[in-house]
Order: sequence, then C-alpha cells, then structure tokens
Amino acid sequence: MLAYAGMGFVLLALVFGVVGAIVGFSAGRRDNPDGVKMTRWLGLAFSASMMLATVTMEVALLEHDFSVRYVAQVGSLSTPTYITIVSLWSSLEGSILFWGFVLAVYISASIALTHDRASPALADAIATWLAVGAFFCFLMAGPANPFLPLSSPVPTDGPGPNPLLQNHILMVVHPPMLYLGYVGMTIPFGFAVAALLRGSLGAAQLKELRNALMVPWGFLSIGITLGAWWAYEVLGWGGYWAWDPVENASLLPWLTATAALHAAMLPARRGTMKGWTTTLVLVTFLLTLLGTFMTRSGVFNSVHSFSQSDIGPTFLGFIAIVLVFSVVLVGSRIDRLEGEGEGGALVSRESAFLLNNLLFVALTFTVFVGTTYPLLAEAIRGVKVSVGEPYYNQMAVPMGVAVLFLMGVGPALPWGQPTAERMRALIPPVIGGLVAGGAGVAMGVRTTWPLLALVAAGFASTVTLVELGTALRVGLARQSRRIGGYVVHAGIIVMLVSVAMSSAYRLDEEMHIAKGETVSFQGYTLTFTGKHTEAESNRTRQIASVDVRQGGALITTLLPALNIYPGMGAPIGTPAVYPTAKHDLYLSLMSIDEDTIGVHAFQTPLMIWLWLGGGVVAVGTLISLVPVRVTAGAPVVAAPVGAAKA
Amino acid sequence: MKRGPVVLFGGLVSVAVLVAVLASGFQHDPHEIASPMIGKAAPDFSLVALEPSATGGEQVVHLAAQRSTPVVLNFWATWCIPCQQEHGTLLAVAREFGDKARFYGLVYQDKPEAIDAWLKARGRAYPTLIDTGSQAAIAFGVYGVPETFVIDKKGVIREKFTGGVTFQGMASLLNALIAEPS
Amino acid sequence: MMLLLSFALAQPPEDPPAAEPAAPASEDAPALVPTVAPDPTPIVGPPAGPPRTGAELDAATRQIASQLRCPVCQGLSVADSPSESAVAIKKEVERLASLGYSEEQCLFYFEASYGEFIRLEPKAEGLNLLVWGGPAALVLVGLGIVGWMRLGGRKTAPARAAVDPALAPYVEQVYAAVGRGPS
Repeated sequence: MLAYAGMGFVLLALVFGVVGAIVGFSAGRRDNPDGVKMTRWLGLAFSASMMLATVTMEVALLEHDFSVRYVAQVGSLSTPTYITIVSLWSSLEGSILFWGFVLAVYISASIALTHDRASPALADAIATWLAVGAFFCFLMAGPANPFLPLSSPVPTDGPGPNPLLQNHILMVVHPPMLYLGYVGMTIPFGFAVAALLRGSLGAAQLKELRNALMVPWGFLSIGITLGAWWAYEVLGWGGYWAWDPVENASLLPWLTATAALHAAMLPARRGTMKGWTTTLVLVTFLLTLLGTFMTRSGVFNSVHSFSQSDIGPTFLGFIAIVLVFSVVLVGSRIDRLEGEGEGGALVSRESAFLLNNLLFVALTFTVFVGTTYPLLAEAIRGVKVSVGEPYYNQMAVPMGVAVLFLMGVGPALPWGQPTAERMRALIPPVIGGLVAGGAGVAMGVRTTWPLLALVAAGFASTVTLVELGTALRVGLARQSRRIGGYVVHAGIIVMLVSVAMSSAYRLDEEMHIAKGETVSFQGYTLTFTGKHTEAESNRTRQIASVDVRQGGALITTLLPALNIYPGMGAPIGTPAVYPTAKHDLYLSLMSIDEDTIGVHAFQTPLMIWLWLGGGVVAVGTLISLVPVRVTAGAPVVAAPVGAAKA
Repeated sequence: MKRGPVVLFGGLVSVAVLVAVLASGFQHDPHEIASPMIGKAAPDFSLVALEPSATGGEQVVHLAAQRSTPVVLNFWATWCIPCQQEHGTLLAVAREFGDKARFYGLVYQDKPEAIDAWLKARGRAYPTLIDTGSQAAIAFGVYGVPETFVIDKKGVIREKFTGGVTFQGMASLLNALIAEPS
Repeated sequence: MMLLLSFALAQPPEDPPAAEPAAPASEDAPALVPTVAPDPTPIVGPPAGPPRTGAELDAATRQIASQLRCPVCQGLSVADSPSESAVAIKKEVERLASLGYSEEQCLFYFEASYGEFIRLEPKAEGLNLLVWGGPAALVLVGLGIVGWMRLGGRKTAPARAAVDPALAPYVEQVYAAVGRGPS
C-alpha cells in the first residue's frame, strides 16, 4: 500500500515540477504577475508532494514494511530506531528521495522568505528550482525508484544499512548537513539563472543571491567538517581527509561557493564582475551535480560511493543539459550584465578580491583535475592511474598558505586608492605574523610550509581581530554581515592552522600490548587491563580497556573497540580518542584477543581545533545572516569610518 | 571587448570534453586494474605447503621448479565470500586438467587452522601454499582476493582473472596453453 | 615475521645485522624453512645507495610508503592504511629501503607488479603533465588577466569626482546601498 502512495506523491511532484517550470519561465518572460503568483503556488505544491513522499517512506521504514523493496534492502528489525530513521539516505534510491525532500524544504522556505513576491525574476528562479526538482522526480519515477514494491514473497527481516553507517552517531548528522549544503546550492543557482535571463542584477537581487548562497555554504562547511570528523572517529587510520573522489566532490562546490561569496562583494561595492559572480554560482551548482554523479554513477573508485547503479547515464545527460544551458546563458548575457565599474588601484581591496577568486578557482581546478584525471588517463592511455594525497599536498598546500595570507591582506587594504595611513595599519599584522612564526620555531616547527602557514595565520588573525573589534564597536545590528564574515575568517584560520600542524607533525607507532603490560608512547604510558564483549542488537563489540597515565597519574581509560556486524565480513573498528588542547592521543585497534591487543597509537597536534574552528565558522555564518537593520536617515557619524570599508 | 562569443566557444568546447571524459568512465570498471604482469616472467617464490602430503612430501614449493606444465595460481582467503563461490569451479577445473596443469591455492593473511577448516568443509583437489607476509601476493601485484594467475609452460604469466573464474574461461585458456610446445 | 627472517638471510654478508632482532621471528615461523625473499635487482638494478638503518631507514620507509596506494583501501596510502595488505607492503618497503634501494627504485619495483595505479602521485611525464602543469598554467594565465584588468582598468576608468574626505564614508554607503560603485 505504502509503496503505491509514495509513488503517487512522487508522480504528483513530477507533474507540479514540470508544470511549474513551464508556467514560471513563461511568466518571467512575459512579466505576468498572475503567472508569478501561480508559479509560487506550484512551487509550494511540488514541495508538499515531495515532503509527503518522504514521510511515506519514513512510515514504511519505521513500520518495517518489507513489501517496499527499499525497506527490505536497508531495513532490519534489529536496527535501533534512530538508525532506521536515517536509513532513508543510506542507499541510492532513498538518498535521491531525501535529496528531493531537502529541495522541497528549500523551495518552500525561499518562496516564503522572498520579499518581492510579484517579481518576475522570482518566477524565473522558482521555475529553475522546479526544473531541477522535476529531474530528481524523474529519476525516482524511473531508474532510481525508492517505492518499487517487492513482488516475490515478502521477507520477515532485512540486512540493515551498511555497517559503516551504523557505526557512529556522526553518520546521523553528517549526511543531512552535506545534503543541506549540496541541495541548497539550487537556490542561488535559480537566482543566478533569473539574473542572467533578465540581463540584470540589482542590489536587492544581489543581496538575495548572497544570502541564498550563504545558507548552503554554511551547511556545506559544517557537513565537510563533520565528514572529516567522522572519518577521524571511525576509519581508524589517525587521519581525517584522504583526498578520496567523494571527499573532493564535497570540497569542489565549497571552493567555488567561497569564491562566489567573495566575488559578490565586488558588484555590491563597485558594480563590476556581475557576470563573473553569477558564473561562479552556476559552476557551484554544476559541481554539486558532478559530486552527486561521482557518488552515484559507479564511475569513480571510492570507498564512499554507492554501489553500481543505472542512474549514471541519465544523470550525466542532465549534467550535460545544465552545462550547455549555463554556457549559452552566460555567453549570451555576460556583455549585458557587466557594468562599467571602477577597478581601483593595483594595490587595493579590489585586487585582493580578484586574487582571492583566482586562488579559489585554481584550487578548484587542481582538485577537479586531480579527481577526473584518472578517467582521462584511462580513456586516452588505457592505464589506471592514481592521483592521491602526495599530489594534493604539493599542489594545494602553497595555495592554501596563499589564501591564508590573503585573508589578512584583503581586509587590511582599502577600497579604491590606498593611503599611507592605511598602509601603516599593516605593521601590527606583520608583527603578529612574525610572532606566530617565532612561536612556531620555539615549539620546534622547522619545515617550510607549516612555518609559512603559521606566519600567514598570525598575520591574518591580527587583521581579523582588529577588523572584528572595529565592526563590533559599530554594533551587531548594523554590521552583522561584516562581523559574521570576520568570525568565519577566524574559524577558517584556526582550522587551517590545525590542518597544517596535524598533518605535518602527526606521530604514530604500532605496538602489541599483552594483558597487564605497560608500554610508553610519546610521554604517555599505556596499560592494557582487559577485554570485554558487549552484545548490541545490531552488532557485537570487542572492547579493550587501556589505562593512560602521564607522569604516573592515571588521566583516562580509553576503550578502543572492534565491532562485528553479523554477515558483514571484516570487523570495523572504533578508535578511542583522548583530546587535549595541545594534541590528541588516538588509539586504533588492529587486533584483539583475551591476552593481547595490537594497537596503532597516534599523537596528533592541535587536532581538536579543526572541529572547534568548524563550530566557529558555523556561528559566523549564522551571524552574517542576521538581517541588517537599516534605519532610514540615520546620521552618518565620523566614528563608523571603518564601517564604510566593509 | 565582447566576452560573450569567447565564453560561448570556450565553454562549449570544455563541456564537450568534460562530458566525453565522464562518459568514458562508463566503459571501465573502476575496480578492475589491468595487470602489468601479463606477458612477463612469473616472479619466483618458495612457499610452505599446508599439507605436505599433497605436494609429494615437499614442505616447500618453488615456483621455478614447475616449468613445462601450465600453472594456475589462485590467491584466496577464508574470509572472502567470492572465493567460496568460485571454489567449486576451481575444483572442477582442477579435476579436469589436474594431469596436464598444476594448480596451487595461495592463501594470504589467514590462519592455518582456519584454512584447514575451510577446505575440509568445501573440499580440496590441489595443494595449498601459505603466503606468509604476503610476499608472493606483493610480487604478483595482488590487489584483492580472489585473483587467479595462469602461467604458461615457459613460466610467463599469460592471464590474470580478478574475481571469480568461470569454468569456460579457464578451460579454453588451459587447453590453449597445454597445446603449446614446452 | 617470516619476512624479517628472510630479510636477514637475503642480506649481503658485508651488511650490518638488521636493526630489528630477528629472534622473535622464529617463534611464529611455521617451520624453519629458509624461503628466499624476492630479489628486486633484475627489475630495478642494484641498490642506488648504501644500506639504511635506524632513523634514516624509518624516514625513508615512511616517505616511500606514503607514495604507494594501499591496494585494498583505495584512497589511503600504504603508510596510513591499517589494513594487512598495506602492512605487508610497508614491510617490503622497509626491506628494500634497508638494502639501499632509492625511493624511485622502490616505487618502480611496485609499479612493475601492481601497475601505475599503485603510485599515489602521477609520474610527471606524458599526459600526466596535464595534472601538474594545468593548475600552474591556470594560475599564470589568471595572474595575467588580473594584472591586465587592474592596470587596464585604471587607465580607462573615468576620473573619480573629488569627494570631501569627511563625506567619503557616506558616499561609500550610498554606493553600497545602490549596489554599484561610481561610474
């Protein structure tokens, strides 16, 4: 029953999506207010159908209705309820349904929050969102149908979702964040398409575009950080990022969205670069599609990808259509859109923004080429090649350090013409950089790039703190955007320092510890005190108790474990982490039996700051979205000079 | 300067290249890696046999001593599910060609007791060698199990099967190799 | 464990004994059978350098292992992966490094059996140069465009009307509010 109801809602959403896209684009073209209104309602109808389809699936999952094939595939009576709920996105078909659900939430929220409800540009934007939504409904109606009924005898129980998904609570939080980031990029894409179709991008639309970009950017930042954290807490190799194609797929749209957020400052201030800004937004959306393709087409060799599926060619067809549409749109409108703005001096904030965009585009290109090159090499040379961590480290580290440095240079430089006074303001940051570098040397940092990263971080954080102080004096209500932006910068600086130090100075050792035996590792002593087994409904855990002492005093007991999922082959580990501000102690079990354990121990400096920095970025994003109170006729006082240079 | 035409031309060319590259990916299985060992002399190894009785009392098997007959090397492990599925096929092939070709199962990353129990449950028709420290697996460039290498009478690797083998594929290859002059 | 044993046997007589004591190896070895470890010389030639030991050996092993892709785990290097296959390859790397084979010789040795796929870093030759040169070319072209925009833009921009410095912040705010700068 539920299968048919769900299918019905998907088909309904497909109809609303297609009709809405047609009505919307024609209303936008003819500036027809009634058409705009109708498009809004069709958008809401699409969203409602999509949400009902998702609710239907959740009901089927919770009721363990194994007559729905998807439920029989990922459900299991022994799985805890919260995992049953999240198994909505644990396999291909459900994840497409979840994609549609998130899009529905975004579309309805965007329609509700738009100020100018009669704007024909809104009709174009909604039409674009619905066209994308209709494609995903089409996938669900055809090659990736989540509501296929099971014709053969209905099983009494299922295997449950992939054990890696069941293994950690972060897997419940991380995918929705990533989806909110990925799918949310459809919204700015719609606004950018509307701007290009109409050949104009006014101040109000630019603000709308920027806010629409900011929200998914924030979610994507959180999603990527949580993904890295999940890898760190679960995969047991002591690291958090392996430059795997699917990890890269999440990074690519983040990089271009970051570039777009910065590029959007130029038209806001100078009236230039509107075409470029909208292009970056289009590219960001395309990269989210590419990322979805990478995870779901079975073309890329990745640990995270879903198993081989039939949606690859359909999806690639859709990507090709959006690509051609975007190129034609930009090509035919860019000359109309580019305003005549003033560029400012060579050494000015404008230049810093351009360099920022260049660096982010170069980073995007590096990751993109590295990720797709194996396909090209196989097509042309017929040989499988790998592009992995050593490549990315060599290419991305210099660019990352340059970005860090620019985070200080940009805000320190004035718009337009630099003055001697403003240039003198660069002195404290330079001192800040030298102090940070000196502190690094004193702590034993001797390698070039980590040291340069520290200097750049010291420089950039001084600038950030000074600017933050200035903005805070003006007040949050008037400067939320600027304050939020600098808080984000502060978070990113913390994260980049953590990345630099944790990857350059991670120490590790593999050891075997007999029961009762004590070994020493980097100033800690580790004692294996015993093993116990815990049976849970969906798995059996073999847990080792390891007492950690420092200077003779017991500081903690770590419980690294190996988890055995019935019928799933090799056990999956759960490392145990003892985090401190200075470094993490990380124990990963390699083997366990009654009287001895094999442990891979890691000591990773400043690791915790990566996750804390991610939190700061999230807070900064929220602050920047606080609506600015514009008080009409507010007197311009001399004090907020700083305000003007934001 | 008009940028539109530049964007249009450059963009469409890039789109064509990108889509072609992505589409080419459908022709290849990302998990199948062509072995550079095919056509090369098989690296020699000396490995300990699990059941010396099956190797005529020999404790150690030297690959270099196996010339003049084709050799089939099957890398497997007890924890590998496709290995269980292909085991029946390999037994059948070994019974059919046992007198004209030599078969060895190479077990790596496993415990002898587990191997013995596994074989007792599923039957054995050829000797099992223990690849301690995965040395042979590394020398042959084994990515995972099961992988099966077929070596001709001159000691040259002629074929590598990734994943389960089929009776047909093995039989036709072995017939061809047996017919070759030694 | 067998590996350590065979490593000691395979060493030329003039080499110092292995840094790791070979003694525990005999406990695990199923039988005292001297198996011969593969000799990489036919594939990569004689070792390019003197034998390595101690910290130098550890550093070389780590460096080489970080360039090799773990065959069973796809994204990770042999140095990072906890899998048994990776551990076995790491031991083999250590053996080769201790004999004095250079980084490139070791990588070539593994490439000979596993194919180019085993290298985590594409060799800088042929089509692979795209991966290395592409981003660099993009940065150079981009710098050219940015420079041209900045310098060119300044020449063609209309002279900016003189603004009373006291009013400058207000003017800036107006520009910000209307969404474009002075034109």
